Amino acid sequence: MRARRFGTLIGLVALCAVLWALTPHFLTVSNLLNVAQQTSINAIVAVGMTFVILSGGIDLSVGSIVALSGVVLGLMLHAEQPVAISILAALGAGALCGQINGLLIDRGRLPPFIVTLGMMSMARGAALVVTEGRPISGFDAAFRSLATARIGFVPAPVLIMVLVYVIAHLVLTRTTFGRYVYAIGGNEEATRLSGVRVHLHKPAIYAVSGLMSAVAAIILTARLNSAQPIAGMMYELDAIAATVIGGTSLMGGEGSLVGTLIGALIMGVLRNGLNLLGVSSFLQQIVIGAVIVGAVLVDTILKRHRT
Amino acid sequence: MVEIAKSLKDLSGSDQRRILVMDEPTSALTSREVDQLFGLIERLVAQGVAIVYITHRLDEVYRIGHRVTVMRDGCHIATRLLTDVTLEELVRLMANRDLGEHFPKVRQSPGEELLRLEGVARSPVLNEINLRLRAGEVVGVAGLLGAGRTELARVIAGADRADRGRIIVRGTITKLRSPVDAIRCGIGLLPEDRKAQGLVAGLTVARNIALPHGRQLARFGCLSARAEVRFAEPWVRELRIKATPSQPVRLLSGGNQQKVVLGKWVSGDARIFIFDEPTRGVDVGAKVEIYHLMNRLTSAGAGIIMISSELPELIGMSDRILVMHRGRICTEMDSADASQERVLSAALGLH
Repeated sequence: MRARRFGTLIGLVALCAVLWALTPHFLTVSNLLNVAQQTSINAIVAVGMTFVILSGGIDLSVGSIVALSGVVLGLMLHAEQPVAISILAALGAGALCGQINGLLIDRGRLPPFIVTLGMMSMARGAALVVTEGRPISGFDAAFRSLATARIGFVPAPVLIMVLVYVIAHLVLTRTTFGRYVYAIGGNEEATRLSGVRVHLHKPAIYAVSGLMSAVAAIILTARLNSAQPIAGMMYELDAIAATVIGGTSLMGGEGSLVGTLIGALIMGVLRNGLNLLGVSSFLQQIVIGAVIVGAVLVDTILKRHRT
Repeated sequence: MVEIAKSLKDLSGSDQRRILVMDEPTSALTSREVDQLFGLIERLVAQGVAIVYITHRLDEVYRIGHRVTVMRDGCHIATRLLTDVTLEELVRLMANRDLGEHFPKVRQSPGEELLRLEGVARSPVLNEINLRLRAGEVVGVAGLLGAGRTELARVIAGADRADRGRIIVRGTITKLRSPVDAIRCGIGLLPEDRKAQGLVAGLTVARNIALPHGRQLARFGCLSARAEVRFAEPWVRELRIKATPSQPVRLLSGGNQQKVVLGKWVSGDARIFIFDEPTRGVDVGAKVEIYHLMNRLTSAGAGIIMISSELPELIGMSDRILVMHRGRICTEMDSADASQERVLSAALGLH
């Protein structure tokens, strides 16, 4: 596992070295901070995705939950609610969507793929219904500072991302809940027979994912100064990509958030580098798709050798 | 029935090869369908088709067979004409396994009652189960595949719910709705399939052993790796698990993996143990260690329900033996009076 993470890190460093050689502008402080800032939203969504994939599931609804939580936030702010209350409402909406996912998967014994696919459509639909399809724009500077402020020279979204990763990493490695995430993903039946309350923890895992989507939505809304019902399209793809590039097994039970962070950074650096090199956004999609498949292929080959 | 029809269709296509192999074809059929099948078999035989018919239902052998071959532990034991062999003789051929090994059984005088089942049922797999387990006792459960032994284990461990009957743990009527309830009552299950139900292969030895005890080991929901290792270490030594606590169990041998599953329960305060095929896929050395562990548990006042398909082990290590047949306990015997033949003929439903 540690070797695998090291491999991902080498990939990131190699990628940076290549981009540095190709375009000197890449390795400037302002560009790197720019990459970190652009990565932060995907990286935070990928935290929730990592919890879910570690537990042996998948969450396709993250992008739609980003949109719905953002819309809830926008509506609350426009209704003159305090920023803190509005943020709590957005976080609550995200966690609730996730909890519903988890309850349907656990109690209904439905495949996560189907349940979250349904939620992907329903949350998106709900966001469109309440806004009548129009964006909610124009917020106070105080709220916008969540995206625009800098502490020292570090942009606030990057700090939020780091904070989220530190907390989530501690939860995953130092709490019973974190241990059960791995155990459920490794062998759900054995975990249940060991007296772990799987029917409580599994919905909670999806709630974490919804909560992370809501955190990302807050940053996104502040940055765009607009809550859009069509926000977060294809975020599930980026989050799954960051997670699997980071070495988390799609079968569940193995992986880490350190890997996911590196995975998200690889995605961010790759996008940034391709932009700097003037590669068309159409071509970028092909490259990124190939990187995702390539990363999983390498992982699969390595595993085959191990066993 | 559909499966049988398909294979017949294939057969009619190729008129040269005329051998049909049937492996327990009647296990999923009603008795009327069985009659139809046997009628069909007679017609096929009359047409010159040869049939290899595998079954554990001896009455079927006599109804349709001409010759019978007995196999045991992967070896050919005997082939006889059915007109020359009596039912008793057949059972003896099937049963007579070489005891070969000595079992280090230490009998305890049984103490207080730990567990009683009264009329427990779970349709369609379990029917009218009555069972008592006392402190210091090993109760063996015999039966053929599909007789309901594992289903019984799962009901006692709270993995499946009983739909009727009473379960009494240490004098108190108890509802076992989930493994959590069973564990709270001090019931530990060593499941039949350790890979599928006993272990989380990717987690370490320490984490597997500590898995049922997470709540006790944690402080405010926080669980340190050090606390898990400190908890598991004495048991790794006690059970002589040949691994360090921080190794993933995936890398361990079958015997050591089984000891890790045992460690999950002996490390807690369980007093009622259900061992479902405890020595399956385990090397000889680990087998003997598991037997010794059973002795230590019973001498400390625990009770063990041991399910096993290995008749010598069942007779050698149990105090009493319950034999299951088609979801019921059909016979109970003291293991001192038990012989492989007696157990097997009861399991075959010949009484």
